[in-house]
Amino acid sequence: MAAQRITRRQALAGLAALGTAALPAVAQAQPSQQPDVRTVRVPSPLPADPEAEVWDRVPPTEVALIGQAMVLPTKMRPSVRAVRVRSCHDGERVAFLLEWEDPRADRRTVKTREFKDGCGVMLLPQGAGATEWMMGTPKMPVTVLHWRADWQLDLDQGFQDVEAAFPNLAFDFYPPLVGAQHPPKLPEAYPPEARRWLPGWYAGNPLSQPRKTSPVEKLVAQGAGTLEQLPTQNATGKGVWKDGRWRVVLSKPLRAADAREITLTPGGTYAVAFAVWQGIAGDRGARKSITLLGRLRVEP
Amino acid sequence: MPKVYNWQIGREMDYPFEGRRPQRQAAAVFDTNKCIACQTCTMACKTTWTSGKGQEYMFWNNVETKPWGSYPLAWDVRVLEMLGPQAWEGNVYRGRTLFEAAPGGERAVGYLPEDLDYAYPNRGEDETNVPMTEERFYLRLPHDAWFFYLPRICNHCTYPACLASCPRTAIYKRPEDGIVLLDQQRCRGYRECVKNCPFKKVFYNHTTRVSEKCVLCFPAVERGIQPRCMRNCIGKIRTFGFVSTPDRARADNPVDFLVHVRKVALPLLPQLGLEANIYYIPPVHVGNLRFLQMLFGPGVEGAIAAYRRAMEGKDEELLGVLLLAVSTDRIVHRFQVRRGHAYGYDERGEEVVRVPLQEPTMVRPAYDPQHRAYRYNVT
Repeated sequence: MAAQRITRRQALAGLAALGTAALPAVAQAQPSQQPDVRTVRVPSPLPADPEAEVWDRVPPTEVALIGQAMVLPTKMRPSVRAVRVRSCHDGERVAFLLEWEDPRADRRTVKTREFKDGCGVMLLPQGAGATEWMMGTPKMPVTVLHWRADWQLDLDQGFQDVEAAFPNLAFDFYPPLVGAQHPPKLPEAYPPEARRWLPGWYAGNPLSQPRKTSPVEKLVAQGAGTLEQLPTQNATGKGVWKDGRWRVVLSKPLRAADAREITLTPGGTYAVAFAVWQGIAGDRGARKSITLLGRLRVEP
Repeated sequence: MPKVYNWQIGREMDYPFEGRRPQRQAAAVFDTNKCIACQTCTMACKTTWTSGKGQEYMFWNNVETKPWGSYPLAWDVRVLEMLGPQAWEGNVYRGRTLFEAAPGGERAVGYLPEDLDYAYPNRGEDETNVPMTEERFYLRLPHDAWFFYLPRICNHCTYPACLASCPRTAIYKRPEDGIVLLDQQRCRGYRECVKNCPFKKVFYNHTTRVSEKCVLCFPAVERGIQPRCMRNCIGKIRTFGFVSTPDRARADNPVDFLVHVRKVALPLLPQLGLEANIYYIPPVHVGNLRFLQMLFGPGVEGAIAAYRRAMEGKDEELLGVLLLAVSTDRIVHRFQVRRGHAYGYDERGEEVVRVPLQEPTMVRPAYDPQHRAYRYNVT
């Protein structure tokens, strides 16, 4: 069954409408909605921190964000205006520094109405067009690096369990944990046979694993609704929020580790797009602010 | 947008996917006239499925009181308000379904509950519609002052709003029995399903950060055993089985008999357009027909009349089917009422239970010579 989609003609019409709607009528220069990014070569090791000095020597590009009108549910107006992008590589790994304004850091996804901040880099081969821009096609998979503020929080402050949002939580007992510590702290208190009562974890869903190793996931998609994690999770990164601004590093090896992942070759040109999710606006999934598809040139 | 036929609203409607009915549709009938809100069903489900971390607030099965109760808070009031006017023309619904009322850019109309909305599952329990301040309230049937219990689980709808809302098709409907399941591996916690299920029977797990829902105890159903909420019902209100579309109803299938033949069993909020598969026998003593019609659709008067006939001893077959409820833990596929008994048969036609229509009378003498003891009446 295909994910609910708008037709290609409707999509391009919606895109055109969004494009003009997103450009305010002011005299100052507006950033383009199409990224044009140069991945600058820098000496190893690549900066892992958004505050690293190396980033000052990498020229930024400002890209305007538009809403998402291709797939239901839509987000007609972007809630973030623009994202500033820097990119560098050291011959082994590529890194992106994304910066954008967000009045509030939304990191926790414990409560039903809590949605996280996040950002993403979507990489495609050169020659990708409007159709491929919509999360890839069966013929052209896209590689996505997705930084998540909730995983960042899990790493920075320990796994955010129910108690993080409901500090006065009281319970009689959790049946499979009789005899375990009180309250049970994941993941230590959960022997394998008790994990059935955490079905997401038991099923191997990456969102449900209490122990995170990176705040960035590496994913592949071949069309809207097909996003899934690649087998090798070797993306790294770090996001810091300060004074109403997120600064996030996302990094992956240049060389693909998995079949459908993209390899970036120094000297090569690729297609790229960026996305930002704002928790305060209830962003998740298709509810995102995005750029158009643009160009990524990797310096030799 | 594909068009599907929804027999509960007597017309075609929009649905994001092609209509494809399962080979069999698991379904149940709840007799609200018998429910005592003992919450045994709630405890059976909670003990089995939602005793883990992150599931503390979840009640995949709950029993709320109507009119003043709801779990989560005001779920029905809110969805009916969002839907706008809900007019019926006979048995055809002329208003908008959840999908037809969807705002632009959305798949259905819905809202995300606050956590506090789930905090009072017993709110409004046992509250009468009006305060019982005058004697006249007690002395008339149907009651001027009334309340009734509404036990609810996921309705495993034929056209689920949750399934339609997931942009990743992480929710699917099993072709073999129509049970609707949420793929724990595929979910990415977007909660579009939580937002759009009008019955609020999909829940976000605080610990695993993906969503969950009633699974209709499918491992038991696969083995011919009724789900736990059904087979543990103290009041024996629940008839579990498989429902057919009206044109294929089998008169000897208990659920088909109640829903399509006698028409005592009605869908919950049919105007939503989901073709929900948990059916309700409406409470016959409630003196507000419009309220019942809002909840159960246009068939209320007929259902109450049919039920009263059984109450008056004029419908042995209906009485027999109702007495088969929770008489066995096996799923009853076929029934027969004859010679003062109701017989239930499993899928292969084997008799699994036999229930007398009239409880046999036992006479016990005061002195038991075998045990050399006197019997005392201690009741």
